[in-house]
Amino acid sequence: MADTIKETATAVIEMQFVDGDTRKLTLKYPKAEIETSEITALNAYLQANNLLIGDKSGATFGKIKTVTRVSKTTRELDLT
Amino acid sequence: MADKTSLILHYTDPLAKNGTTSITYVNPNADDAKLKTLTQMLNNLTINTYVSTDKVETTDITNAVSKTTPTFTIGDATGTLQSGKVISYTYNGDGEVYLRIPDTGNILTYKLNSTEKTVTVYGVQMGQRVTLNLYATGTETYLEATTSKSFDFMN
Repeated sequence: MADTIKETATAVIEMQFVDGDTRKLTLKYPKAEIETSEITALNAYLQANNLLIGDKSGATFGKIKTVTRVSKTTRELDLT
Repeated sequence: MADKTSLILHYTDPLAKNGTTSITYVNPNADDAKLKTLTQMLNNLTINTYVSTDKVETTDITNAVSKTTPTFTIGDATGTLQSGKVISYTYNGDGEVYLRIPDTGNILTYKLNSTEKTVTVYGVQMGQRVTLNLYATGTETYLEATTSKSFDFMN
């Protein structure tokens, strides 16, 4: 029997609001390749439609600050 | 109005399991269709299958206080009264007190004094029975209430 290898990934979107407050949104099972254009479109949509507010003072959405794809590999050793 | 509005994105993951992602601190005045589109755009960054979107509004009830039933009664003995007699009522709440006017057939006028808590009835006919129906509005502290009493007027 071989070791068991698992790969999991998340995409963490860090957003910034006009009062300087930041907030993270985590998506499970992100695509292998997220295009910059997709994030640009998402950012534009959020800015144009005032959909999200800051959690400290209800501040207006500023922009998407960063998008990070986090991969985790676990290797469970075969002990047999 | 809710204190906090959130979205729940429902999806099916590659292992065919149901999953959710919460999007918190949503603008409560935002258009629902645009909020739905937002969750679909977020889901399109994943390999999950979009199922549905819920909007959740929550209210902070940490400081909620049970509302009290106010004391609301019309005083003065039943019996015969005269037109122009001042009838007092008791109300210990902080709502507004109104008179509910029944259809009595002839025209009566009611003067409500909310400071001294009295009602004065004018224009009654001899031997007329008049029923006072008072209504107090509900407030943050007090429940709404009604009270009623009938009087026979001498004239």
